[in-house]
Amino acid sequence: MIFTATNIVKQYPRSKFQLQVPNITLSEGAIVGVVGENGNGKTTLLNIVAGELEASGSLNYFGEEVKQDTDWSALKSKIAFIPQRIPRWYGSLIQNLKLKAALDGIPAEESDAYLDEILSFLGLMDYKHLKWTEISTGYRLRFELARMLIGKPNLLVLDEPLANLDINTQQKFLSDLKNILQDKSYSTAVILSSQQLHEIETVSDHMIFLRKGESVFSGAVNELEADHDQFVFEVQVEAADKARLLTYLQANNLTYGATGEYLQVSIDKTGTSNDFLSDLIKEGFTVKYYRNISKSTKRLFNQ
Amino acid sequence: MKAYFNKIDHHLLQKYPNLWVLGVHIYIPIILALYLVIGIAGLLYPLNPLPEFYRYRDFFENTSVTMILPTILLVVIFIIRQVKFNSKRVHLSLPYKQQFLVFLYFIFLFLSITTLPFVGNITAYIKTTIVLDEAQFSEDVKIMQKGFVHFYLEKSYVDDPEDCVEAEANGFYIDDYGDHRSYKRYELNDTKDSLIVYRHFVDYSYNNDLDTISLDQAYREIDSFIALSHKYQGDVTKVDPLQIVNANLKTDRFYTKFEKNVRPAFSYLQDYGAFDNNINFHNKVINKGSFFFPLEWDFWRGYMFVTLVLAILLIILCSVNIAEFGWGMLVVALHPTVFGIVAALVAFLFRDVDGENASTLGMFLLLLFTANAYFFAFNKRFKPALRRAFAIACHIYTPVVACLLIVLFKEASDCCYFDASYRQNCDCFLPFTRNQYNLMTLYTLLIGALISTYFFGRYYKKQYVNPQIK
Repeated sequence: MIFTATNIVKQYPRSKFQLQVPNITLSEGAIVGVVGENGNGKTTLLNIVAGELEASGSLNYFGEEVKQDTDWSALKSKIAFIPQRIPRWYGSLIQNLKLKAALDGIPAEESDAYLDEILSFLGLMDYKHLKWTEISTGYRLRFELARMLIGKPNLLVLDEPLANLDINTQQKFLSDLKNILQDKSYSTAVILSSQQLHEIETVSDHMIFLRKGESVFSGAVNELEADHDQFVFEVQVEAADKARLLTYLQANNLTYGATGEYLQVSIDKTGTSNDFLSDLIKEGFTVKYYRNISKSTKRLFNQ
Repeated sequence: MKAYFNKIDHHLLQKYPNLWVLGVHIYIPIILALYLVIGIAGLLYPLNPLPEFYRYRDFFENTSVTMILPTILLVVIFIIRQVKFNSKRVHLSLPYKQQFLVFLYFIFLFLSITTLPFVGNITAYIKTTIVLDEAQFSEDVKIMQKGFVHFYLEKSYVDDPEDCVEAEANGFYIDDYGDHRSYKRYELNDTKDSLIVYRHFVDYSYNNDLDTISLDQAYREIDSFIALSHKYQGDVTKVDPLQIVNANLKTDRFYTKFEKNVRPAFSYLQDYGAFDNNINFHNKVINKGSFFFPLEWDFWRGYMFVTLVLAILLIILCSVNIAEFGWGMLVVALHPTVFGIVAALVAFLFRDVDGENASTLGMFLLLLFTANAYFFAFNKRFKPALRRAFAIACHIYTPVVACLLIVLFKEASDCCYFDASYRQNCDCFLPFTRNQYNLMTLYTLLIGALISTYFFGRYYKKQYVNPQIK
């Protein structure tokens, strides 16, 4: 087991905010996604997991319980934490990577090949001689990831890595993460937070949903649906059809809520998840957006 | 050359990252090259004939001043490199021992860089000690001292002693304006078999006094002077001792009421200015202190403070967040200000307290304020950022306060030297000499800085590596 924690409690007396997470488990090769609205404790939780923030509760890293005399310096050499704001690098990118490799004790004769391997893996070879200011945010993130991977960390903690990335870069980054976990030369687990629910749910084995500091849901995405006897859909129709759709939903006694232009509709699991879409099309609605969020933490946002 | 540098750079980066971060391959060669260039410049200054001393000294002082900007530039560039590559995340990843070695390197490098302006002075001094034979000069000057009176006499006679208010038996009189004047500095005694001469300076060190010598002795002194003086650019215009003595005795008297009228009574030196400068130059070399200030130990004692402060500031900058460093500096500035205000108030309230007790009171206040800074740095009730800001202040204060305590203790124990009105009930006890105290202050600063840096190095690491309480 890479990391386990029970009864994490962190209080901020001034804001009276309290984070309470009963348990987290990060097993080898697992990706855990942490989601929730802004200010609900995602960054706090990741900071606690990364050993940046003190909290009460029991923490166990790599099979060892954290105690008063724990050598955090040694422990943190196995943890890679990428904060939302990555500190700027100075000098050329490759210079920084070589420095990290040397400081991590990689022998000089192996260093170049090892770094090339990581850079090739992340598709960064063409950019290694550039400087921090010459690359985009997405590449900065990937270079930071490359730097973190040099020390072969056993725990990767990523705070909002997808923020400010375009959709393609997000996909590429998440695919990189998956690939890293497939490297069997050392065991790794990843915990990351994001607002990109669809993307993060696609790669995560386990999701934690935080609301006002409390872990509302913690488990595999599939478990989310199992807990409910309703399908939940997110729908957007042409503006001209919106009033008619509301009348339709009321006429059929369907529960719904609105988030901006989107409607979140709950339907009893009497048929299949496609039935509702068929009904809408039959009724002549022009559907602009339709998504089944029954297995997504998205459904928790409006509860 | 560039390829060769890149090769070394790459090698150091991969094999010795800690040295690469410190830029030893950049700064050590630059410093050595500058030492060499400036040092050679100091050696190249011609000493034959000896230049006028003030021109010589001004040249090296101007060189020092010119080197200040490049030195500051080098210091700034070095600091920037450390901030860029030896930032918190790199520096705090080092073991304690290596962090401490980095601090020693900072001291070494800052000392090396900031001494650049003085390298020329030091090599120039070394050259003069090689070129000028101090031991021989010391021997020669004793002999020339005796003979000089026969070759050059300034402000020697008064024209009309009758105009004087008072004449004194010791050869001085007081004129109308109350000025002391000397007269009759070269004359035969009453029995006409000896000379009464007024021994005066060759090197300003000779104790001016009237001396009575036989004529034979005078001739010997003249011969000895001629034999030596040319070595010191003191070629003479007359060489016959008998002729010289007779000429001196016949010399017209000068009334030297005003300084502007001062001129030699006689001079048989071809170039008195060159001779005087030569002797003066030798003397300055022997008395290093007045030669160049960088040769004075007192200067370096004060200078050590500058390098230590720079090294401490940089090691802190490498160990903490930039923002927290800024807060730390604010505390460093404000805390003594508050201390100053309180001390001024206390001084006002206890204005009748004598010097000894004032020093004791100063010590007490200093300890109180230091304890206050430590209280903020280590009390877990305060925010970590605030504690770290005070820790930065404590890091800097500790060696300085230790020094100040020694100074104040010395003052408190040194009441014998106070004004007489303060000596009542004074129990003067100084366990060490004043020089020992000065040395002790320097060593305390140095050791205090080392201990403080070692201790707070651990503090910063613990603060940033361990989970934070926010």
